[in-house]
Amino acid sequence: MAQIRQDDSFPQSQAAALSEPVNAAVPDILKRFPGRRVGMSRRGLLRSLLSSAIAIFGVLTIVFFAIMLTGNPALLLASPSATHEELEALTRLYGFDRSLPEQYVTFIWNIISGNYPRSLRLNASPLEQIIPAIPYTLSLAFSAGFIAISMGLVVGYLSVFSRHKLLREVPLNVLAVFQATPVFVIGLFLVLIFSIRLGWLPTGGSGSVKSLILPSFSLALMFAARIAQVFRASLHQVASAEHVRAARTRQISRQEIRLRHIVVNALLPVLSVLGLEIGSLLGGSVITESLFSRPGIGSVLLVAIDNKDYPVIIAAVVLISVIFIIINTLVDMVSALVDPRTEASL
Amino acid sequence: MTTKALRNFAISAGTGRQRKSMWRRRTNLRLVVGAALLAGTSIMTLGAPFFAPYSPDFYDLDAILMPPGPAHLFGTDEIGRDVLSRVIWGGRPILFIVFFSTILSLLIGVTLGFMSSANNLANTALSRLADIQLSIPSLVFALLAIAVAGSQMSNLVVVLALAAWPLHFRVVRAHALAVKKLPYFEASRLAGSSLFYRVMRNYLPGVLPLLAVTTSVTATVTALSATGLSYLGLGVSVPDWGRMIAISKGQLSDAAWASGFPALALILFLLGIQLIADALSDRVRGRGGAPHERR
Amino acid sequence: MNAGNVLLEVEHLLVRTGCDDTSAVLASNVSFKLHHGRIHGLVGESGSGKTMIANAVAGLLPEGVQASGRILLQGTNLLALPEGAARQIRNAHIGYIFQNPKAALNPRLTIGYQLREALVPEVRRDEAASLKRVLSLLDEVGIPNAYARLTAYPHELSGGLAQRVVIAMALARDPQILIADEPTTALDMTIQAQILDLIDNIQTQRHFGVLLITHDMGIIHDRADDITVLSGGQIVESGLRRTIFEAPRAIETRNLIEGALLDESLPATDDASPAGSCIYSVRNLKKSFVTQSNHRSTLHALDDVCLDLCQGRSLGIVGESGSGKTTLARILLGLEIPDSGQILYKGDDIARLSRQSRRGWRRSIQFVFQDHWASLNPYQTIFESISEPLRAEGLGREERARRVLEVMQDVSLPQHLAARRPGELSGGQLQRAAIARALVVRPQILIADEPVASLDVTVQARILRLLEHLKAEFGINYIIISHDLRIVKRISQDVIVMKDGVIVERGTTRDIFSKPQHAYTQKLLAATPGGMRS
Repeated sequence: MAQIRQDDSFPQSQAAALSEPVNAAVPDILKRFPGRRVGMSRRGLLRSLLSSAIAIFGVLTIVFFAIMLTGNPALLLASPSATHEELEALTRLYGFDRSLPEQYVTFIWNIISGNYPRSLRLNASPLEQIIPAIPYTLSLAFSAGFIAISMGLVVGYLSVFSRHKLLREVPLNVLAVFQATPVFVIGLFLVLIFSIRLGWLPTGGSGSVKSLILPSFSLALMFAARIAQVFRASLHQVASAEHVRAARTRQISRQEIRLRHIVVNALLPVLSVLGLEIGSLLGGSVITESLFSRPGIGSVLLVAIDNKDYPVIIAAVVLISVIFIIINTLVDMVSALVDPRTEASL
Repeated sequence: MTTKALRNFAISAGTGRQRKSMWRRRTNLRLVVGAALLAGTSIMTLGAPFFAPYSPDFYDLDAILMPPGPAHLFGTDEIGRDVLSRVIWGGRPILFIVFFSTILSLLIGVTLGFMSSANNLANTALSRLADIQLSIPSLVFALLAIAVAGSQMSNLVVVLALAAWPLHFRVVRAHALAVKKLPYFEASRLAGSSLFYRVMRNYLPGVLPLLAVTTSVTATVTALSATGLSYLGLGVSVPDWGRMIAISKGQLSDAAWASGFPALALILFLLGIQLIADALSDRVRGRGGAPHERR
Repeated sequence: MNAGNVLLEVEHLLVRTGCDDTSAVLASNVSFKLHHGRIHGLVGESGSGKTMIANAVAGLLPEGVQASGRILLQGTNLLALPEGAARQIRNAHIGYIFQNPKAALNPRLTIGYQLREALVPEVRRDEAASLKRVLSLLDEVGIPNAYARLTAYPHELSGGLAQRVVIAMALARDPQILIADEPTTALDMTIQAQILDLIDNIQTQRHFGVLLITHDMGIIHDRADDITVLSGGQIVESGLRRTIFEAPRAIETRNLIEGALLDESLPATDDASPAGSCIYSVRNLKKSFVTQSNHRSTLHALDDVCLDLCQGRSLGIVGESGSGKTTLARILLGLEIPDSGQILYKGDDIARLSRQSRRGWRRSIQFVFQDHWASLNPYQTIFESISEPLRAEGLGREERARRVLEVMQDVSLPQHLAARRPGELSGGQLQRAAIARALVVRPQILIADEPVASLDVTVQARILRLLEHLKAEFGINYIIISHDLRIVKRISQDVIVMKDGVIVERGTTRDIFSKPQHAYTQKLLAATPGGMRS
């Protein structure tokens, strides 16, 4: 805690940091009450972006090593029936005969510029398969996330503030059971009830909004419990904080206190959990897409694994990770919005 | 005071009494139920040669899709295999993978965590490494590894351990960094105690409960990933619960037992681990970390 | 002296943790009056119920705690009203100042926003009016550059500034009563004085009544007009300031006065004992840190520090937070390495000691940490903690037991506590255990960092007496580090005053306290509660 103590009478550095020439602006400012300084500072933004860049590079490095570990990368990229000459050509083309650092640089450069080796199946860039699939995956991820967060927050809130004992305990425990259930079991269960028995919703496909409902719910139920638990614990902790007591002395309604001082403050730990859970969300989406026959990146990846179509595999893995990293960075930024202190620690 | 009395005093005031009160057994329902579920499923699976009435591969095309009855307690599947036996045998791959993978992830995570707390450079490097590992969703990472190296059991154990070590790492590292700043740690240093003594006495008691939590969480996540992979057909070649559910999912509407019972076994197993994880993490959180921090 | 109107009247207040027989009584049969224009001090140790009484008046009792009796505010009994109505009256007429200013502010909202929230709804609605009022409040509490501050967040403010903001919020609705709950405990001494002066000024200008709650009799001595002394939830004595201090009747009152170390005369520690040989010398010590935060800056913790510790004389190091006193202590112990300078132990530079002599050096200097809750390993028994230095020396089990028992007796720590763990001991007992651990190797020098901070006042007195006794019995030389001059005055013969890493003044206790030379020393003396003004 190397905070430089300032003499209370005139903290100059603070004045400098929040410089606003009071004298000059007096007539205007008398009308407007200054609001929050919204958003991150430039420095914080840069740091976030730098972190993400490093993470992306890291992922690419891991993928690179995974490829190299197989011994002969050319074999991965060539079709099974390739002749020796074709293999040689490939090797020279992608520089597999050069030194490791050179290969690394070439690899990174290729990935960044979108220059992937051709997919074996379609003999076209893997991006042609993957890019159309992205909207399906994103829509699933976001709707599942939205459902999970809403459910989690509501259940968490109820478990603390509801007046009815049942409402406080039952939803939380129900969600906890779902937490221990694999996503495909939940999915099959939901399909059994809502598609087969009741016929309300389709068993799969990609067309309508209706086809999004069951997959989203299967995925969401996986981690709604965690969000509810974290939110609940956080609410308890914030509710006993001193600033809530201070708010009680003011002439504002209990509702305002609860919302503004307790609930919003309690959201911060939820955000950090969210960042971690999104990884499982994206992983789970692969299984969900398979179960519900949604043509997202996960499906593309699985088909490629089946066909040993390595260029597509590499591209899909990289893209999913990049999406993950981007979402994580966004979550970090939102954290900084909610609690200005986090920016200091970023 | 006599020598003997002194010795007795030293013993009674020292380590002797400690062990008992450290593990105050508060009967925690969740812990008990969870442990029971876990033990139950594990024993059943490990004792498969004794418990299973049939061989898991034995099929009888005359007895296809029979509902649960006296001959086949859980019914039969699409080619007449006894579901009960398959369920009993089907837990083995999952159990093995979860067990070994969790242990391996602990080894890696704890070692790297220690190394990271000792040295500043190691700290930055290893933390970044952990962050990068966490930037790839674990299932996706597993898929990549399987695509490249195949899905033998040994591969799966290693891959899932690699996906899980950052969790232990972070906990070990954070605790080490926190303890280093604590007065009693420095007091120990001032007293002249050896490094070994200091680590054992000051650091370990605090980190063990935390590791208990991360271990149970890792076990849950690994189990989910492993069964997910086998559901997708990318797990081990031996039929396990995930595979069984996948194979028989087409029969859901008419012969739900073929998928249903493996699913049930899986849920019970996972629930067992989950309950233990919840109970442990509540206990740790309830104590508020180390006792002295609660003031 | 003429009592104005009675603003607040408390009659037979009973505060309990529940309504049945199993509930604990936090305060019972408490009655007092707060008059217009006067400061009423509620003083007592922690656990005496003073905070609970204040909470009951302000309506801030924690969940499950109940109050019964009469609390008459402007003639209306607050406890007889339904909660909503009572809250309305309280919020309109009472302002509350919290103990920990930064915790009392919502960390994610700006100061301006929270100040506006504290205003009366009619004013709050109008933006221009809010702005004007908020700015005038900030001006009243002495915050310069007020408009710029409105967009600041609580973590960006220093403790003193934050407390001023909290006071501004308490004044926002023009209350008639101000309740100050230990308003200065979390602050540095000079800042404490500033805040208390501020409260004094505001009280003079607005002419309302202040309920001042504290455990520090020195503050009461300086500021309060009427006093109520509490112990164990009951009033043991009450009256005018003069009466209480000139002729205290209850034992608890006397203990509190003694604990606040309020004697005008100079202490007995100022003996004219000749300085023995110099056992510990520091020459030209420099140390800086590079901060890890966003703004990488160099913090000069110590700048050219020299001092001598001589046989038979104890040294007190006084300074506020950031003065470098803790860094100095750590360097003296060998926990940190200075950037430049020398430390001589009995004439030898400790950086150059042989392995053998290094061990001897280590044994002869011991440390008592500031945070006694965290200075003992919570997973070990007291016996194990105290015997650890002996174990490191390789002593056998019986010998260790003998030495531990011996030292526990020296510090008056009951034997049966040896098998307990720190969580089961009280603050005073923990501090004794920490001292025991330091003493068990029979050191020559004992460095104590804030040895009695965060201890109850009466316990403080006991620990200080223990230290004096140990010095007399074993001839230990102390280096006492404290922010509180009163403690240093009691124990040490020589004093060093530090500010921002530099020694601004040094001398014998007598000289420093009667003829302080440096402006900062004078400021510190003036800020110390309870009649130490020179």
